[in-house]
Amino acid sequence: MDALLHVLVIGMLLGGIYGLVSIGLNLIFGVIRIVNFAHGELVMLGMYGAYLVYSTMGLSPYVATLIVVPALFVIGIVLYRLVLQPLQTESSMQIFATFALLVIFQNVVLAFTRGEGFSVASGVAGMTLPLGEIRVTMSRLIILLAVTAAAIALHLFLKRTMLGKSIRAVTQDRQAARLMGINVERTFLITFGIGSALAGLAGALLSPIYTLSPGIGGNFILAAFAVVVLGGLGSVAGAYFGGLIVGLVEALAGFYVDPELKQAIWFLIFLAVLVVRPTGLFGQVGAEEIGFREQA
Amino acid sequence: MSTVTAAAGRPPGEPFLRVRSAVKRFGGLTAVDNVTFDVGRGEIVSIIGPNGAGKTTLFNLVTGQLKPTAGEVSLNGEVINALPPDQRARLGLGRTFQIAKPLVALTALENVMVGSFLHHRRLGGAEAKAHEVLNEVGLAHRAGIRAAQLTLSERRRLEVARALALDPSVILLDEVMAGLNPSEVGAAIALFQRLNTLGLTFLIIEHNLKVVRAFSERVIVLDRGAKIAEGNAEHILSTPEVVTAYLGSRRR
Amino acid sequence: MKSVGTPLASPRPTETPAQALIPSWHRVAWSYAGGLAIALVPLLLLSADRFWLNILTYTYLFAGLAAAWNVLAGFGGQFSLGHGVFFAIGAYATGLLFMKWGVSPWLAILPAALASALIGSLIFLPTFRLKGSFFAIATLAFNEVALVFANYFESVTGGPRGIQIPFRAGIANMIFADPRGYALLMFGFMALALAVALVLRRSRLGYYLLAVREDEDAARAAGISVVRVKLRATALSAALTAIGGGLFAMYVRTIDPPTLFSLPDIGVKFALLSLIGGIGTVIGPVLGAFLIVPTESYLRALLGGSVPGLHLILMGSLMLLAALFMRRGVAGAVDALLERWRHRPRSGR
Repeated sequence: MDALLHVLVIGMLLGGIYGLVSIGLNLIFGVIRIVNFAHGELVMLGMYGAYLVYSTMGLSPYVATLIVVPALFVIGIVLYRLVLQPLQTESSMQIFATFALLVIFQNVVLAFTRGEGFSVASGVAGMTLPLGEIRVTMSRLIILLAVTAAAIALHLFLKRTMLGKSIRAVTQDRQAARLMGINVERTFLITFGIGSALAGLAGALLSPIYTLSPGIGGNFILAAFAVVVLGGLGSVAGAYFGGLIVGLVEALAGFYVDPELKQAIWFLIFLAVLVVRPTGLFGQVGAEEIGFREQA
Repeated sequence: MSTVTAAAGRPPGEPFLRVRSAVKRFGGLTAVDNVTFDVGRGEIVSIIGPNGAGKTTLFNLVTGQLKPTAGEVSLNGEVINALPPDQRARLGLGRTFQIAKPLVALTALENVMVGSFLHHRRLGGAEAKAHEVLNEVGLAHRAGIRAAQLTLSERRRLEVARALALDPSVILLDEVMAGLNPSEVGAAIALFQRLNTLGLTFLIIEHNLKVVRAFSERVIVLDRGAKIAEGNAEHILSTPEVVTAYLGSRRR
Repeated sequence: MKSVGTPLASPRPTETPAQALIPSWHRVAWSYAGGLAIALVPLLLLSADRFWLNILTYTYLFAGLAAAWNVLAGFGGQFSLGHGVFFAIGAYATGLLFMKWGVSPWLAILPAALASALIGSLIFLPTFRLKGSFFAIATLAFNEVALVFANYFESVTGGPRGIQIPFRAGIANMIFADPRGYALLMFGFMALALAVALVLRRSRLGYYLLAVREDEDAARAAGISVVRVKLRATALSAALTAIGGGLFAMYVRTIDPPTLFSLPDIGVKFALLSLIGGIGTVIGPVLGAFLIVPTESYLRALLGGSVPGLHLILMGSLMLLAALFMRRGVAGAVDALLERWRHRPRSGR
C-alpha cells in the first residue's frame, strides 16, 4: 500500500512536469494547428536562460522566471513571424521548418556550452517536505503548484478577456472568426508568444531538477505531444489532466510492468486515443479537423 | 464515338433510380422528410426548391456521402443504402459537386484520367478515353493545362468530364450551371441533351428556372425537406404553391 | 471569349493532340536510362577515393529511401515520420536471417520486405483517417514505440548494443571487400526505387493516389476506394524502405536501435530529402539526396572537429532557408522556371 502511494505521488509530480511542459504546446497546437517540434527546445532555452541569470546575477531560478518568461515570449513572437507565419499554408514544410529550428537551437547551445553540463542550485528547490511516510522534493511540488496556477490563470484568461475569447473563437472556426473581424494572424502571433512563454516558465522551474544539456528538450517533446493528444486540443483542462494521467501511467507502468517499457506504454495509450477518440478527453475541436466525418 | 454506354435491354421509363421514404435527421433538424420519387432510365429529372430545402442533402443520400436515417435508395433494382460513395460510382452513378473539386495539381487531362481509369486499367486506354471525353465537353484545347489555372466554367466542365469518364448510367449534377453566362449555359444544355439521347439518365439540382424549363422532363419540388410537388416542367412551374414556396408571393 | 465553349451541333471527331501530353513509355525509358547514366558518373570518377566513395554510397542509398518514402508521402499525401520502423524491420530481418540461419541477404531482403509491408499496412490502417499533423505525430509515435521494443526485447534484437555482422566477404553474403561493390549495390537500389516510382506514377494506382491526396471526396466520386489505395501505397513504400534497411545492415554491419530509429538521421531525413528535392515528383527525392547527403557529410568532416555542433547549425540553417524559400523544392523551382519559359510572351502578341 505504501509503495503504491509512493508511486502515485511520484506519478502526480511527474504529471505536473509533463503538464507544465505541455500547456504551452497545447495552446499552440490547439489554436494554430502547428506541430512544433522545437517546443522542447524552447523549454531547454528557458532552462539555460535561468542558468544564465543564476550564474551572472546569482538569482534563484524562481526569480529568474520574471526575466525568462518575457524573453521567451519575445523569442516566440519573432520565430512565428519570421518562420512559421510564411509557411502557414504548407503544413509539411512547416513541420519540417520546426525540425530545422530544433537542430539549430540544440546545436547553437551545444556550440556555446561546448558540451559542458550545468546545474542550477537553489536553496528552496532542494528542500524536502514530508508527506506522511514520503518525502516530497520542494522543486517538484513547486512545479505541481505552478502548473495548477498556470492552468487556472490560462483558463480565466481564455474565458474572461477579449483576447482570450478571440483565441477561443479562432480555435473553433478560423473562417467564422475572420468574418467577425478578428485578426486571425495577430491572434496566432500572440498565441505562439504565450505558448513559448509558458515553455520558458517550464524551463526555468525545471532547471533545479535536471542537469542541463542541449539535448534535454528531446526528453519532453514526445511526452508533450502525448499529453496534448490525450488531453484534447484547445483545452487547458486537457493539458493539465492529460499531464497528470501520463505521469501516473508512466509511474504505474514503471512499477507494475517494467521500467524499461515505461515510454512505450504511454505511447501506446497515445496511439489508442488518437485512433479511437482523436478529440482527446476534453477536446472541443471540430472533428473534421482530425479526419472524422460522417461516412456511409 | 459515344462516351456513354447506351442503356441496354430494358425498355425506357422503367424505374431505374428509386428513392423510397428517405429521411435524414441531424440531431433535431429534419433535413429530408420522407421523400419518395423514381427516376426512369433515360429520364431527365430536376429537383428545385428554395435554399435550405434539403436538395443537396437528398443528393448526398443518393450518392452515399450521407446515410439515411430511414428509407431506401435503390439503383437498378438493387438497394444501395449500405454502399459507400466509391462503390456507387463503380456501379454507374456519376456526380458533380456544387463547389467544383478539381484536382488542382493535375492537368485537365490527368483529372479526367482519374475517372477513365475505372474502366480502362492501362495508361494508354485511360488517356485515350480522357481525350475523348474532354473533346465531348469542349475542353480538348485545355487538356495540358493544370486544373488550378482553369476558369470557373472550365472547372465545371472538367467536373462533368471526370464524371462522364466513368461511363455512368446516371449522372447527378448539383447546380452545375451556377455562375455560367448564357452562351456557356446553352453549350452545357446542348451537351447534356446529346448525352441524354445516347441513354444517360440525369438527376439535377437547379436554381435557374430557364434551364429547368429547357432541360427537364419532370420536376420535383422540395421545400423544408419535404416533396411538395412533382410533375412535368411546364405544369409545375405555374403551380401557385410552387411559385410561392420558391419565389415568394411575387411572380417572376 | 469566343474560343471557349462554342456550342456544338454534333460531336466533333476526336482530335489528335499536337504534342503528346503524357510522354510515351519510350521517352520515359530513355530519360530513366539517361538519368541513371548521369548518376553513375560520380561513381566512375570517385572510385579511387574511399572517403567520397563512402559518401556516394550513402547518397545512392538515401536517394532510394527518399524515393520510397515519397511514394506514400509525396504521391499519397500521407506525411509519415515513422518510416524508421520499416527501415529497421528490413535491417533486423535481413541481419537475423543471415546471422541465425545463414540465409543470403539477397534472398533475405524479400521476406523482410514482405514483413514490412504487412506490418506497415496493419499499423498504418487505423491512422489513415487522421489528417496532416495528427498522422505525422501518430507515425512518430510508432517510431518511438518500436525503439523502446527494440531496446527491450534483447533476446531477439540484441538490445541497445544490437547485432554485429562479422566481416566475411563474399558476393553471396552481400559483403564486399571492395567498397565499389557497395556503391554499385546502393546504386542498384536507387535504380529499383526510381523504377518503381516511375511505373507507379504512370499507373492506375499512381493516379488514384494523387487523386486521394488532392481531394478524397472527389476521389470517391470517381470510384476510388480511398482506404485500399492508401494501404497499397503503404505496403509498397514499406517494402522498398525495408529493402534499403537490409542493404544498410550489410553495409555498416551493425544493427542497433539508436541508429535505426534516429529521427534526424533516418526517419526525418527521408522527409527532408524529398522536401528539398521536391515532394511528389519522381526525381525530387534523388535531387534532394544528391544535394544534402554530400553537403552534410562534407560539412561534418570539415567542421566536426572544431566547434561541436557547428556543422549541424549550418545544416539546420540550410534546411530552414530551403523551407522558407523553396516551397516546392528544387524540382518545383525548376518546374516553375520551365513554365515561365514555356509561356513567355511571344513577339506579335
